[in-house]
Order: sequence, then structure tokens, then C-alpha cells
Amino acid sequence: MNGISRLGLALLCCAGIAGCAAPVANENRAVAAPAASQAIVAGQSSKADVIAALGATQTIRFDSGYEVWIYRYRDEKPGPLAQPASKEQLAAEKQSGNAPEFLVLFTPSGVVAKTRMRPAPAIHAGQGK
Amino acid sequence: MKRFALRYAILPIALMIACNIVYAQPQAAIRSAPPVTISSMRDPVDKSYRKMLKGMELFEKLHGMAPTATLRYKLLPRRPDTNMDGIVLKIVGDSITIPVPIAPDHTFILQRNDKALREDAAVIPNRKAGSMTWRTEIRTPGLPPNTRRLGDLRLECRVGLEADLVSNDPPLIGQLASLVRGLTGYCDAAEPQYLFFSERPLFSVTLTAGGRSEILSVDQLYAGISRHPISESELSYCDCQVLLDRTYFLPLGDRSWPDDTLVRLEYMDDSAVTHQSLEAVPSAAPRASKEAR
Repeated sequence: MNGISRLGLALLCCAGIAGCAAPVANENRAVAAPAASQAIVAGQSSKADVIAALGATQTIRFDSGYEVWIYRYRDEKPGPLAQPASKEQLAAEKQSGNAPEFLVLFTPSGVVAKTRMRPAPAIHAGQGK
Repeated sequence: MKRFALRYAILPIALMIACNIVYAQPQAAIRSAPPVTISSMRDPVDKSYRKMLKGMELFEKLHGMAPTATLRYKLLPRRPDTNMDGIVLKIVGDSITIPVPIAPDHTFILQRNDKALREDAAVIPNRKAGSMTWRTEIRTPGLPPNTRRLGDLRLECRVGLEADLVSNDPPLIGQLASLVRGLTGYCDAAEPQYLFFSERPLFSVTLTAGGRSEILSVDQLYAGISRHPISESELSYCDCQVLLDRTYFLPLGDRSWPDDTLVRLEYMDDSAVTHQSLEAVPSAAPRASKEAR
């Protein structure tokens, strides 16, 4: 590791000390992708509906009243990959920045505005250079 | 050997300071700028005219990263009660005062003035320190709506740091951090913690280049609080304080994403996502846009 890389790594590490803040509650909850995508209807589902379907999870609340709920999910393929991730898997994926995500956005009135899934990004040649 | 050891003993401290610098704007900046007479505002949120011109010079030098883009500086609110209407901006030296027009979107440009340079003038809005923050705005014209270009944003980071728009409270810490940033090429790091601000509250950011597309992790949004939650009181040290839902980081140093990469911003109040419209745009070709000027 050259000097620049070492410095960059240190910068990223200390970013945790320097980061900004907002109310964030709970740890991420792992869900199976099909359950996440099918259980929620934008414009209809309430917070209670989402908790009933997927459970409570990490939440970011903004002054505007909007909330973002963050779930980590597994691949949508049937079989073992459709199962919730273990805590260890979640921790490793989150640390690497490659954790698949399922996000739910709530309006200030507490209804789901929209959702999005983020698959784990594919490793690309030359990435990070 | 001693010099080597000392260098590495100081490094972690300097790096921690640097991170805070990149996040924060001065609450009450104390500068060594020349004395100026401000009758209407005490403790204004000022910047160095000389450094801002240096930023403009760097923009010209690196214009190839954003060949058709223009540079403007931008004022953003930092407090919930900051009044962004009717801001009066001036370049103020010992014996010279130059008014600077501000556009309705709170952007402005600076003209070069040799006398103001010689007098090491300050750029001073009629707002108190800590009430606003500053950024560069480098935009390629004609991009699709809600879309930025990665090369423009890479250059925003470079010029923003060169112009010293992002800084921290104590002068000593600021100087140390500037030194570290200069040594490390901060904006070339794979994931620099340089805060970009979108026009409206964000829900998703997607990079698209050629046939490749990638949604950024939520950890790259909202100043990274999903990854590093920090107490609400510490938020006051971040210049994202009232813009938290509009902040995002980008993998600026990841050269597998070319400068022509499109950065699509999906806002909380957007309707359906239209990824197809992005895929139809192979490069930053001029098109009608409500975001681009």
C-alpha cells in the first residue's frame, strides 16, 4: 500500500468520527427480497403495515417529516439466496458498502411514498482506481 | 528516522481534522484577512477573494474535465432561520468595494480585479458567519432533467477545495487540513467525503455510463448517517445542517466511471423513475433541461 492509499484509507476511517448527524434508530433488518417488494404498496401502506410485513429497522427521520427506512435484502432468486441475511453477512456487506438494500420512503403523513431496491453492485474492472 | 516517525505521529491527528474540515463550515470564522469596514454586518460569513480567484484559475486549468461547463459559486443556507432572499454580496478590500450580483438561484460569478487582489479583499455577504455555506456549481448545459455529470462534480470538488469554500472553525486546524488535502489529492480518493447538495430532498442517486448502471448505497446519501450515526448536537458542525436530506457523496476517484458518467438524482417528491430516458442518452449531449442553465 503506497502512501496515498494509506492516507486515503485513514481519511475514510476518520470520516466516521467527522460525520454529520440526524435521528437514526435501530440496526438494519434483513428481509427476503420477494417479501420486501410484494408487501408494500406505494400510496397505501402505512408504517404499521410495513412493520407488520417486514419488521422495524434502521430509520432516518428528516425535519421535513419524511422518513427513510433501510432494510438489507438477499438476492431475489429462489432458493437459499432468497433467505434473510445473517447478522454476520449484513455486517460484512455493510462494511464493504456492497450490501443490497431495500429502502422505503414515508411521507410526513406516514404513508409509503415510494420504495427502491439496490442490488449489490457488480465489481467492475479498474474500480476504485 | 525521527522526522519520519514524527510525520506519522502527526498524520492521524491531521487526518481527523481534515475530515471535520470537509464536513463543516465555520461557525464563527476568525481570519487573518485585512481589516475591512462593514457597517451593516458584524462577523459576516466571508471568504477570501484571492482564494476564490485561485479556484477560478484551477477551473480554467482543468476545464477539460468539463469542456462545455461554466463555473459559478453558490450560497446555501446553513441554519433553519437563514433568510436567503435579498442577499447583498460585495468584494471588500481596504479601499475598494465591488458589488456582486446574485442570481435568483443564489449563484454568482466573480470578476477579476487587480486592486482587490492586491488588497487581499474578502467576499462578504450581508449574513452572519455560520448562517450560510458555499459551494461551486459547475454544470454542463443540456443534460437531461435531474441529472448531473460526474466530470462536472469532480471539478466542483477540486475547485471548491482550491477556493477554500469548505473549512473549519479554528485557523490552525484549517491550515493543517488544507495542508493534508493538498498532499493527498482529496478529490481523487475513491470515496471522498465531499458533500454535494441536490436541488431538493433526495431518495436515490444512480450512476450511468455506457451500458453500466449502479445505484449508490444509502450510505452515500444523507451525509452517510446510515453508516455513521452521530448525535444531533454534532449536526451543528456540519454545513449540511439544514440540507441533510439533499446531501450525497460520489466515488470521485473511481476512474472506472468516466467523466461523462451521468449522475441521476431521484427526489423524494418525484413520481415514477424513468431509467429508460437515461439509457437513451449516451453522452452529455445538449438537451432541454430544467436543471441545467
